[in-house]
Amino acid sequence: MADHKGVFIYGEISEGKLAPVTLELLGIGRRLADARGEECAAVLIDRKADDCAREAIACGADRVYVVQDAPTEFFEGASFTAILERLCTETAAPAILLLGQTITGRDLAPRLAFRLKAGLVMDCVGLAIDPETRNLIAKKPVSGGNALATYALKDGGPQLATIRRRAMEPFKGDERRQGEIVNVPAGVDASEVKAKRIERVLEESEGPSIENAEIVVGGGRGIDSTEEFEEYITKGLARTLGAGVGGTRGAVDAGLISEQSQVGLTGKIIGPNLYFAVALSGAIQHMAGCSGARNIVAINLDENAQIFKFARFGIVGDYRQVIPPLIERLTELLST
Amino acid sequence: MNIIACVKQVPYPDTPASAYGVDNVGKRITLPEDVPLVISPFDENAVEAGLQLKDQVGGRLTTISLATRPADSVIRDLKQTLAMGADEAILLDDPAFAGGDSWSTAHSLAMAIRKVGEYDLILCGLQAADWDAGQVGLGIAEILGLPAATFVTRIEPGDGCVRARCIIENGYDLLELPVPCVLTVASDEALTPRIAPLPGIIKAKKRKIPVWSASDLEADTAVVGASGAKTVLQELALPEFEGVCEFITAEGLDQAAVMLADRLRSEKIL
Ligand SMILES: Cc1cc2nc3c(=O)[nH]c(=O)nc-3n(C[C@H](O)[C@H](O)[C@H](O)COP(=O)(O)OP(=O)(O)OC[C@H]3O[C@@H](n4cnc5c(N)ncnc54)[C@H](O)[C@@H]3O)c2cc1C
Repeated sequence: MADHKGVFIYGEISEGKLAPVTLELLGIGRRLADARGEECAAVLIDRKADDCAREAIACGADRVYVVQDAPTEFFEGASFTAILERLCTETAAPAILLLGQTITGRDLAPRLAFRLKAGLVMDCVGLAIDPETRNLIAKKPVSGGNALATYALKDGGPQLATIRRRAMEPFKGDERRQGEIVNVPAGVDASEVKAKRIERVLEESEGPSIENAEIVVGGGRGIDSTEEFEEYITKGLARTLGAGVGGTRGAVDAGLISEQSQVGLTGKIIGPNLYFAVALSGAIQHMAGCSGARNIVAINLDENAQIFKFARFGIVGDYRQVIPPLIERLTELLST
Repeated sequence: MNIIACVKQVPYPDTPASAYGVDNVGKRITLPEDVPLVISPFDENAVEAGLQLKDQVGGRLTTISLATRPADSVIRDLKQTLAMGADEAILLDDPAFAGGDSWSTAHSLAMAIRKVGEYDLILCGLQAADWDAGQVGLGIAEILGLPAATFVTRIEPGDGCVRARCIIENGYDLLELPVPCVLTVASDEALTPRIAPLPGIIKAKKRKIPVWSASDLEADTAVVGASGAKTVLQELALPEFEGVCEFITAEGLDQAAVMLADRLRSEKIL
């Protein structure tokens, strides 16, 4: 890896600010760069990227590549891959490139890895530099979370990883940190993007998007009907808390929520401060999507439900009896 | 429409956590012998998606599996795809393929797809339920230079193209991709795999599954199997669930709910 140097992170922006996963990427990117004695650079592709560049420096970046003119009408999977490929080959030659294990990162990382002829480990919960080889060592859950595997990436070319939410500590922000902001033109032309976006349908959810929400209320197959899901979860607990709404595959299969709201290994990966798990059993594939939640509160009829193994607080009981008094008390508390 | 679906065999994914063990000498996950081997769930969704397209517009569905376990059990799974309605199934089996990672697997499959020759659409599962790597579908697309979309839950045939509904952060995109292209399929009720009909099962039993080796693929042995891998598995471990749940109990659930809210406040969680 003689001529590959430095750590790149691909930063996502949400509602005009660095997304929580980006702060975590900067944290681990900074530590890996320090371990190699090299620079950490962030790549931001967004119309608002310029506004976030200073924050990225404060949070650990030595350099920020800002791409503001990426055509929004293009399918990002293809256009962002082209932009990142050029940044990693023409503009610079990073040794390591990190992305978030988000819907976006899960789409971009494999495309980039194969294009850069690079090794990639997805969904990492631990990353380190091998002191001898200076290669990336990556730890990730496998078999739906039933085991953990540690991989060493091989020499030659860049090394890629995506990180799971809340698995890595952000860097303590420091406003005085110095860094360089480099504007890079997107330079994507239509011929590079063969897939066309015809329509984008955004969820009409009143709460925040679950990937970035601080509080998420998740419902499972144990919720009786769509009407009850709305009454107790969406317009009940979630509205009271200003929380995002998610659920299990069981809830998707039962038609209680849309597939976009599925949390888990094969759905969204969330990392809220508080996750209310209502009438869901805590299957390992579901927990893979919310193991990063700081605090899990479980409400379940079955005292032996696996969710209680992961929960900090639990109530054994019917959600129909627990949620209304809970909402009442929370409303009181939150107004003081 | 000529469709190829890539399928992988995995241990039954709903096996309870307590059944899992690790063998750090052989670098493998161990499971009791009675845990069945099945087609990875998203790969089954991919096969179903392929069959639905075939039902709509006609064409052929070919399934391909790279054997990571004894060939006869993988052949059984491939025959299941034939019984469901696939027209042909191909097994890739060669010691040269062993010890591969996503990089080498994608190369082997891409070369097999090239050898099949005629294809409009390549379908893969979003990720396989054993290593959860989530790279092979997009890898095949990059190697073959094809457009691709991920997190696909619905596919509609078009004129020289397909339309794919793809999950995004806060909703979904409807994409139009010219064929040939690659789609990686997530789960959706509409893609629940069909049950193979009895006549299909009987017919499939008698079929002979072609087995292709690395040399059949004219594969560069430097890119397949362990020699092509870009990652090396160093260690396996079982996770620890540390959580100790504090159960909130009271006279009635009303009271417990109030106490829960108060605890969340006193712990500064809210
Ligand atoms: C490869 C693979 C990938 C998967 N990916 C995902 C994924 O991404 N996300 C995901 O969620 N799942 C995923 N699954 C499915 C997962 O294994 C479980 O089947 C699913 O999470 C179960 O959903 P559930 O907890 O809602 O349903 P169940 O397991 O049926 O649990 C329902 C719970 O509700 C409780 N309950 C019932 N009535 C009440 C009541 N009145 N009050 C309180 N509690 C009540 C019950 O006690 C029970 O614990 C995947 C599976 C596989 C094999």
